[in-house]
Amino acid sequence: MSTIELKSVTKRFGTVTAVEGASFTATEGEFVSILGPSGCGKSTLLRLIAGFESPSDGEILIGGNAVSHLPPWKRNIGVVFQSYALFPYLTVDANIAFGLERRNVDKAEIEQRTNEVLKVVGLDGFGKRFPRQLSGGQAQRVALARAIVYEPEILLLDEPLSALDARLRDEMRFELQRIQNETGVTTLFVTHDQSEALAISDSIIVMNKASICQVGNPESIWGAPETHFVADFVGVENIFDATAILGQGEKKLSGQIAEKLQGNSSTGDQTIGIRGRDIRVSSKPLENHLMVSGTVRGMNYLGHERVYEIDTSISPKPITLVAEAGQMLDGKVDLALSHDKFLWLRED
Amino acid sequence: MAKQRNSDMAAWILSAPVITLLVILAILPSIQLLITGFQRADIAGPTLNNFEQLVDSKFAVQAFWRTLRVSVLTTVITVLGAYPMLYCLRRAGPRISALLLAITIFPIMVSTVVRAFGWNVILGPSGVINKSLSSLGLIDAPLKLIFNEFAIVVGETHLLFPYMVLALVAVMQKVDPALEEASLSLGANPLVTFMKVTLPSSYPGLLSGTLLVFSLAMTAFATPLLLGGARAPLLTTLLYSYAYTLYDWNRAAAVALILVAMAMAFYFLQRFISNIQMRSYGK
Repeated sequence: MSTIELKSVTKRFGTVTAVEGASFTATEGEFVSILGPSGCGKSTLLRLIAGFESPSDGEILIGGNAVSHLPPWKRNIGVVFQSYALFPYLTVDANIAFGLERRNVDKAEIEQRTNEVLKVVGLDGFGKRFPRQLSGGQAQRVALARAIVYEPEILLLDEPLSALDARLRDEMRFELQRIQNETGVTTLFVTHDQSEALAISDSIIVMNKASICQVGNPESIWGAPETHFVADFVGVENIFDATAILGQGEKKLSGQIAEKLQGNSSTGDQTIGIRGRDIRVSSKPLENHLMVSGTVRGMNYLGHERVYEIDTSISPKPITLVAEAGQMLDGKVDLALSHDKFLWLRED
Repeated sequence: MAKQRNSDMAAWILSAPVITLLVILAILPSIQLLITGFQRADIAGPTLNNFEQLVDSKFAVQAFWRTLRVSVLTTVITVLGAYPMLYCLRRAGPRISALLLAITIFPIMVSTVVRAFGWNVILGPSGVINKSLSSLGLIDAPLKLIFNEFAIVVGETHLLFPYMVLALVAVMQKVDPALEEASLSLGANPLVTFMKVTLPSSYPGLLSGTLLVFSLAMTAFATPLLLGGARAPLLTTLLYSYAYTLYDWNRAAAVALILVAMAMAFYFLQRFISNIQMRSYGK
């Protein structure tokens, strides 16, 4: 149960920079997700912390100790791989015992702890099986058991759920959360799935193009994305150039927003995002709302809601509006965009 | 039903050339060999006389044991050499390991005869080794390094080492690299990881590699002929002298059948071991 601290860690492969000046701290027992699209450097970051790669620059501390030049086998970490990486020629018991044997734990204790951890992951009685005889979810649990049985200081998970089907993934998410709570191990979880990250993390690190864009708890990542990329990644449907609103000379802008637009022209927060479900339809002008008229272009019925695409004058792309399933729209509509729901975004 | 028969027919017609070729080139000669091996001109009907004569000949029995010794030794040495090579290939970067592999495979591209002569130059009485040792004053008379079992083993090891490496590399390329990383993350240092993870993962390659090297070592002809000579015959060179020096085709066929039996015995032993191995994978 240790902290993880990165101080401007950079990793270059030849001319390619995979991680650029990454800094963050994970406190004891925290569940931290590293979220980003494929190729953003999140897996490299995990491999740096595991010790499979060594940083070109910067410092990595586990429990306050610099480990940058320590090989993985001296770091006391647990790693769960995307492919599980169970040893195919060893039984489940022997797979789990592998880490304990390396720590010279005596036989009786190995047996006892192996049985205990199998109970924790819900695979009591599976010890004599071989990896080939396990389902994906079971193999996943064994991989997790193998990584936590020797009580590592930190646990690193590299997209562990991506190989599972959707239902199993939901189930394993809760399992992961429960096991992490029970063991209290500081956990770093790499994923490209924002809903996965939001669901189980105490804290989320969003990465793009080798750099960290935003760090925060799930609520702030979801509710207050700071950059264009983060907003896009957490599913903010409508992102447009704020100056388009000014240029259009909308009279319905309140003083506060107009001020903010002007003030931001120097800081670079020129982009506004708003979620489709925060846009309302209103025939009469509302206080503190940007009123925009548009034409319905298309509709998708998703069961619990309807998603409309509406052409407007404020953005070249149609605006997405998420309405209740019962709400039917057609032809010309008047939209009300609440000023409070505007997300002011930085371009990265 | 008619359609089924038609497609069966088509399959037979399409594979007819291959089947014909196999029958002419492999099956008929094998039957011929089997018949010849159990025949003698002066005895009517099938006989074990050829084999009895071989067992009675001290020379032939020596050649049998020598063949077995040379093949086993060559296999063991290539295995012992291939693993450190594999370790280097796994640890080195992609460019270095490609170069290492190219250097390893290169000897395959040189004719076996040329290679045997190369060893002649190195091991011969006035070869590189003897010359250097005598000029250093370490030996008075040249060491007998050639035309014996030692030279055959050296030559065959050189000949067959690449096959063993390739068999192991081919299997290891299919092994998830995360297995070794998992082992490192669990606290095993690179040596322990090699012993506990890389080695067991390589067993299928080891099995096919030993089968390949053993059977090639046993049936090698040019290398034992040029490096072993008449003083250290193997079954293959013995077979050659029966067939072309003594023109005793029946006894030559008997030697060939013994070679086939040895290869098959080794094959079944290998299958047996690999079945045990597969069972432990939970298959």
